Amino acid sequence: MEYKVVVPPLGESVVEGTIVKWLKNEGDSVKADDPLVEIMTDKINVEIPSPHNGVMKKHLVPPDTVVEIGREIALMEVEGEVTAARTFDTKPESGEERIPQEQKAPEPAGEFIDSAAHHRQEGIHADEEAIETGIKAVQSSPVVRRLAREHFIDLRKVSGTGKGGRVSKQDVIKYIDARHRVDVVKPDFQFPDLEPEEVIPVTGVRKVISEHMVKAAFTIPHVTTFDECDMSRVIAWRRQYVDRIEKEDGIRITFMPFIAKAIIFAAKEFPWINATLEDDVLRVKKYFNIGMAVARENSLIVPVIKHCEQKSLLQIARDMHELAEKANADTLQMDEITGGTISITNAGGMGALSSTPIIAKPQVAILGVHKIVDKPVVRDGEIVIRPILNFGLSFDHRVVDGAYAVRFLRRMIEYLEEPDRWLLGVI
Amino acid sequence: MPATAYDAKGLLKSAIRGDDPVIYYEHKRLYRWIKEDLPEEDFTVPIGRAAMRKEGSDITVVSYGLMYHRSLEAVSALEKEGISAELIDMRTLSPWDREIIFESVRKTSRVVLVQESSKTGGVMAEVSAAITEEMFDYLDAPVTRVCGLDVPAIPFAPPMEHFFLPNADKIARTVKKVLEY
Repeated sequence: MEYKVVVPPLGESVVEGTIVKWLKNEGDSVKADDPLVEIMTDKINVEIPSPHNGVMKKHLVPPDTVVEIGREIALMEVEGEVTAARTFDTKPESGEERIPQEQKAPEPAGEFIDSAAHHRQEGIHADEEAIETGIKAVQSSPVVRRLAREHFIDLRKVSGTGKGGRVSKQDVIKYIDARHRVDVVKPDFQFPDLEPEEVIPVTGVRKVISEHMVKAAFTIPHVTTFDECDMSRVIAWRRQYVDRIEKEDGIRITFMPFIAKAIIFAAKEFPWINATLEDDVLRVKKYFNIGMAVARENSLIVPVIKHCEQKSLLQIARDMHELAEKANADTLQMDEITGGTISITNAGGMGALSSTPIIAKPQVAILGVHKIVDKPVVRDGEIVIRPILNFGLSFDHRVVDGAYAVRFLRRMIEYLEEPDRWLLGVI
Repeated sequence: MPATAYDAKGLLKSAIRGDDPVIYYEHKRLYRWIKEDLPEEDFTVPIGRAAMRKEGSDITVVSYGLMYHRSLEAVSALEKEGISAELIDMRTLSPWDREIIFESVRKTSRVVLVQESSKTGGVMAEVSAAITEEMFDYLDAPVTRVCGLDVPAIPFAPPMEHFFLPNADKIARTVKKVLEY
């Protein structure tokens, strides 16, 4: 009879896998427990064994297809009847996913806990003496007295809004309401559904990012050095020109082009910062393709601005703008995200004061840009307030020694602190 | 004691068809005043059953006959001020519908009774006494009546008639007073 091969459960929290290759071709004869197909999950690669003797009739999905648990992926012709027990159950009979007891979501909190014992224990219910004393002490109507007895209320605790402070029925109802509200046990935050966890398979871009990060973080010995830069002059320059330039050219020059230029000037003295290291070969670059990380919803991409050393501030700003738009529209071409020689990542836009960025392999360095903050600094023995940007430079310690990187960063900062020396040449 | 054309016809038929003697009151003022399309098929209105004309939560207003219309006017005006009054038309004065009135008192705990005739010895004196006797534990304010004045003769001059008779204004004022109690 015909037997449908389905993707079996592949482990906890795994909801799908990718077919790597078929291990039995169409027409191959298959013995029970022979591996049929190799499936890759985000945890491991597994070979799915055949539950029966038979012949592989047809592959329903080609390799490299993402398949969810339970999907039919092949047809087999097997000998005799297939008993239900030999097929893969994708879910227990109840149809619910098995969740360990301790992971089960707690019962949703009820409106209120409404047991008399609980109320008395918590002191929410008045005792009989207090109820009767309250009734005598307070001007109240028959219905209020009845409610006081029924709901164990000391009327002295209810604020009356009636004539001359009389406690009305409405007052008592409000009091009972408020009393119950105190009882309500509400979690700080309640997700709309009560699943104990949200299962999001790491696939696509997120998976690529994750692989790159792991490779970079665990093969490159990262060191991050920090130094502060007084941005007064750049800010003053921008204040003077940026609006005018925007009006004339339609592009707003941010701080990033300045920083790119400062990197280039400083790297003339410290060229190994702008380099790549692959297979024991260091390639020191004579050009500057600067990667600028762009955060997108749920992912990150680093478009590369080619040949910044040949471009004006305005052109760099224009390229950045264009690439960021492409990144958001998801229309970046391959050559626009590769070929970087050094990278900049701006965590300051989001408010970060410091970060230790991970190098974009095979590059040697990445510069972390942070928030510009007015800080008290000492100038000529006086405390003055200056706009300070704290840079974090992560470098590959295999290539660059600490002193080298620290000096590079200091030199770069000097260029930013005194931009007039070079600005005229690159506007 | 009908307040609507429908009840006028339905109650009269019930009275005629019943084996017991029935005293059937009509309010003269309603004769040329209320107009209503009635169903062509045969219908009756049972004797002893009041009508819940409008549901509300803050207070119960009970009336009959012409005073039902005055009460409706008052209740509609109060609604615009955010007061939700329940309006009951008694329709039959004896026997009167304890069930529907008591149920409403249980809900609102406040009652205003409206009758056109003089306060002393009127229908609402009986209703008031019954509510106090049987529904005391549910009351949040005194059962209060809006009635004609206790005077020996009914005045005919319009300003005096206005002074003597209950009207929407007087009813609304009383409702507010009871609510403030």
